[in-house]
Formats: sequence, C-alpha cells, structure tokens
Amino acid sequence: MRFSSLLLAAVTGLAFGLAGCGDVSSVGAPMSSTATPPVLHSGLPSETLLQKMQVAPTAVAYSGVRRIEQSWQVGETVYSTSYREDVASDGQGRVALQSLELIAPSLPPRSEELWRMLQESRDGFLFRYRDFRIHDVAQMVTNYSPIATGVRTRVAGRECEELVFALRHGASFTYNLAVDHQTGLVMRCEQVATDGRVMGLVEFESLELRPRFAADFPWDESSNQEEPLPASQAERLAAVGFRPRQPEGDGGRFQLLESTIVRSPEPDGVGELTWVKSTLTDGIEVVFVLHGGSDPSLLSDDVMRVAPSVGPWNHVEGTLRGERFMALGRASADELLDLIASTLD
Amino acid sequence: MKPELPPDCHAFRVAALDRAARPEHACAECERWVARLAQREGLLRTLPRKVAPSELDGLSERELESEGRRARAVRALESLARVDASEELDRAVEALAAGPGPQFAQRAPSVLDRLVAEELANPVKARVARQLENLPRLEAPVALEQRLARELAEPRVATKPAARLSRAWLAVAAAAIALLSLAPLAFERRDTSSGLQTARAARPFRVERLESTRDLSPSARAWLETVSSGLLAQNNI
Repeated sequence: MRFSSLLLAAVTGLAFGLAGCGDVSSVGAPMSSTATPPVLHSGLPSETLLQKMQVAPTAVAYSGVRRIEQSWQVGETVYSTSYREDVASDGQGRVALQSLELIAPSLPPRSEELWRMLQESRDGFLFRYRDFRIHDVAQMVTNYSPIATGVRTRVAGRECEELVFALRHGASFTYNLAVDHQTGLVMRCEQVATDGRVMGLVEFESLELRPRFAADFPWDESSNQEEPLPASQAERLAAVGFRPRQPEGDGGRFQLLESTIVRSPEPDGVGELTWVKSTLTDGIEVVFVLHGGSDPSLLSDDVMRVAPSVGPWNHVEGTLRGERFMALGRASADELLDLIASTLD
Repeated sequence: MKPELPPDCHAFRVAALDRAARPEHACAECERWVARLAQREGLLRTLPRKVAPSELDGLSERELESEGRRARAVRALESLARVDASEELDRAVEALAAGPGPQFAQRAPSVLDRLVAEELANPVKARVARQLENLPRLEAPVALEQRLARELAEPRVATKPAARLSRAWLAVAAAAIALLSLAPLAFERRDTSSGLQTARAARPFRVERLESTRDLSPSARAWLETVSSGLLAQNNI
C-alpha cells in the first residue's frame, strides 16, 4: 500500500475516530518542558518526520542523559521505578545505554551496584524495545492515528513538535511525544493507559549532537546470539529439529518483522532448548511469539497460562499438542493468545 | 543405595583427598581406596598436557579490562550476605552423597495444587468453568442500548399497585433471561493492570490465569525481569 493512501486512511480515522479529543496539548504536560504558544495548524505529522523518527535512534549521532519513570501495576499494587541513563549513538548503527543512578526505589549501595550491572546486560533489549520506536511507518499508519497537535515545546534545549499516537481500533496505550523536528529523535515519551494512568515516561534531560566519542567508547555488544531462521522448510528442520510454527499476521494488527532461532537453558539446567522466535509489530509495539518444538516429556494438555500483567507487558506460555509456546509483548494477553492460536493448523 | 560410610572412614578419606595428616585408622578397605587414589593420580600425571590456544590470553585480557567489569562483579559479590545452609539442605546433601532419593523429586507449581484441589472438590463446577471460559463474548445489540436510553430519558409516571406488580414480575423475568444469556461474561477475565480488553473467538486450548509470576517458567520470569528493569526482584514479587 502506498504511503499517500495510508495517509488518506489516517485522515479518515482522524475525522471519524478522534473527533472531540479536545485540546491535546494539555494532556500529561511534563514537569521539565517549557511549552511555547501553539502554532496555528494541527493534523497529521509529515511523512518526512515519521520517516526520520523511524531511523533517528541509530542514524543520528548523539549522546545525552535521559530520565526514565515507570509506574507499573502488578496485581493490585503499583510499583514506581525511576532512574537516569546515558544514551549514545554514533549514527552508524552502534549504540550505548548505561544506567547512571537509581532514583527510586532507594536501595542499599551494594544492591544498586548489582542492579546497575544487571541493567548493563539488558541494555540492548531496553534500547530496542522499551523506548517508543516506529518500527514500520506504513504498518504504524494502518494501525494508529498519529496527530500533530500543533504545539511546539522545548525539551533539553531542542525545539520539538508534540505528537499523539493512539490505536485506531481496540484498546491500547496512547503515546504523547515531543519529537525533535530537526533530527526525529523522541525527546520525551509519555505512555498513558486506557484508564488515563501515566505508566511510563522517558525524557532527555540533556542532548549533544555529533559529539566526539573516544576510541574505546563502550558501545553495546549484542549478546543474544540469535541466528536468522533459514528460508526453506528443509533448512529450518535441519537447523532446529522441528517444523517451526509461526503466527499468521495477515490482515491483523501485527505483521511479521523477523524470524530468528534462539536457545535457552533447559528448565532443569541440563542442556538447552531451541526456540523459533517470531518478532511481530503493529508499527510501534513489538510482540514475540516463540515456538519450542515438541518434547515427549510434556503433557499434551493444551493449556496456555497467562501471567499477571507486569505494567504494560503481558506474557503467556504453555504446551499445545505436546509443543512449547510462549508470547510476550505490550499487547493484551488476549492478543498474545490469538497469535499463538493462529500458529496451529 | 550405597551403605553409609562410618564416620572414621569418612574422616580418613577426606584427609587423604586434602593431603592432610591422616588420622590413625586400621581399615583394609580404606587403605585399598587410598592406594587406588594414588594409582589414578599417577595415571593422570602421565597424560600429555594440553596447551591453551594463544588467542585465549588476548581474549581474557580484553574481557578483564572492559569497563572495570571484574571490579564491579567482585564488589557486588562481596556485598552479598552469606546464607547459612538449613538443616534440610544438609540432609539433602547427605542423601545426595548416598545416591538420589525420592526427596529430590521436583515440586509441582503451587497453582497446580490449587487446580487439583478445586477439581477434586467440585469436578462438575471445574469442568463447566473450563468450558464457559472459552465461549465467545456476546455483544448487546445496539437496539437494546438505544431502547434503554429512550426509556431512561422518559419522565416517570405514578402507576397503580397492580401495574407495579406486573412490572416487577417482568423485571424479574428479564433479569433471569439476562443472567442466562450473559453467564459466559462471568468467566471473561480482564487484564486489569494494563486495561487492555477485547472480545475473542473460541480458541482450541484452555486458558489458565496465574496468580503470581513465580508460577512462570524460569525463561519467562527472566524475560519479565528484563522488560521491567528488575522490578520483580527489587520488590520480591
């Protein structure tokens, strides 16, 4: 589908789906930004800006300090976490994320040090999947109604446009963004739940463009050791030892982004399990569906177990027809279960 | 299962393994055991020594020098409080030394205990709940919503006692019909935390809601730990 026709669809969605949103500029005003008087136009963000946003995290050379705030519900309790991190990109694909300080909760120094070490091992995942990211512009416009509120604001000294992204159909989060219109970097992202609760905030406190990086700058080194899934069924069978089952994304909210092979330790710690990981996106959110093949020791009970939500994340796992399945994503448990159901013949 | 070693034989053999001064001990079996040990050591010494690949030195050096990881790891490990082994663990280790026993069987997840208990307490109810859980959610017709809105908007008028009674019976009948048709909704669960909810078609499997992330597999828990930046461990969830 051409981008222009997708934009037309977005305009229609704006007219019918989001009329009456009112003054979006007043939604969730952050504490450290300085709003300037709104400009006269509002509507769709430009195609150029959306495409800049898609590539900016790794195509722009920058370094900065960000503050992350999470207010996540698990069961009946809301847990708040807040920390600062250094973020950097050389504009050539190399990135780095390093947690600087845990603001809340307050932990003993040794425990905070341990937390920082563990964060170091998670930095690649957090960079790619925690932050707001447009993974596919065309898919995003199909599923979301992006709105440029017409409000200009300054975040960390950069002039930004305020954008709002809401799912067209069904319930999901709303993202209130401040986007640097020159670079496309998301300078501030507020994630709002369907009931109006602010669940997360990622905001730059400082930003330097085109900084000089030392030769021994600690760039993130990928450690997940994933392998691409071969194209042909015969090669797949040889690579993983079973016929991989993958979700059918045709016509649905989520479309396949990539397929890889991952390995994890066996639950008893002896040996390892091989999984086929399908990564899907609706343009913004990413979900992972894993198929682990059959195991004669598993009961063919056909049960999927749904974990309690951890903030915006949901997880389901179980065995179907004696085969292992898992799915994780910032999508409802029902959507994860539907994706798994679509893998079955 | 092997017979348990007498304490003095055990002490004698441990001293031999530690190359410590061995206590006086007149036991032919233990003497033979020590002789076999010396024989194995001698055989191992005759094996040619393998040389580590030359790249290993460079790799080890780079790993140790990267961003003071070693220093941080040492500091973090030093900060961990020593945990004394419980008596139960001592017993388990002793039993392990003597051979695997039934006490090493894996513990089933707590949710399984609950489900089995519910199934045994009321098998019919458990089966019906499973069936209903997978039924599709029914949407109320738009016409019903409009009619309700119209009726609520109409001004209320005083009614005679007989008319009130018949309306009461009608209300009871309507409630009974609604209860029957909406029964599946009672089993429809929601993602209460993230607030995401959509109506679903039936799936070819049973869905079980866990009460705690502790009932998940280790891989799944590790994943949630990563996406939450350590929230579960920090709060002992």
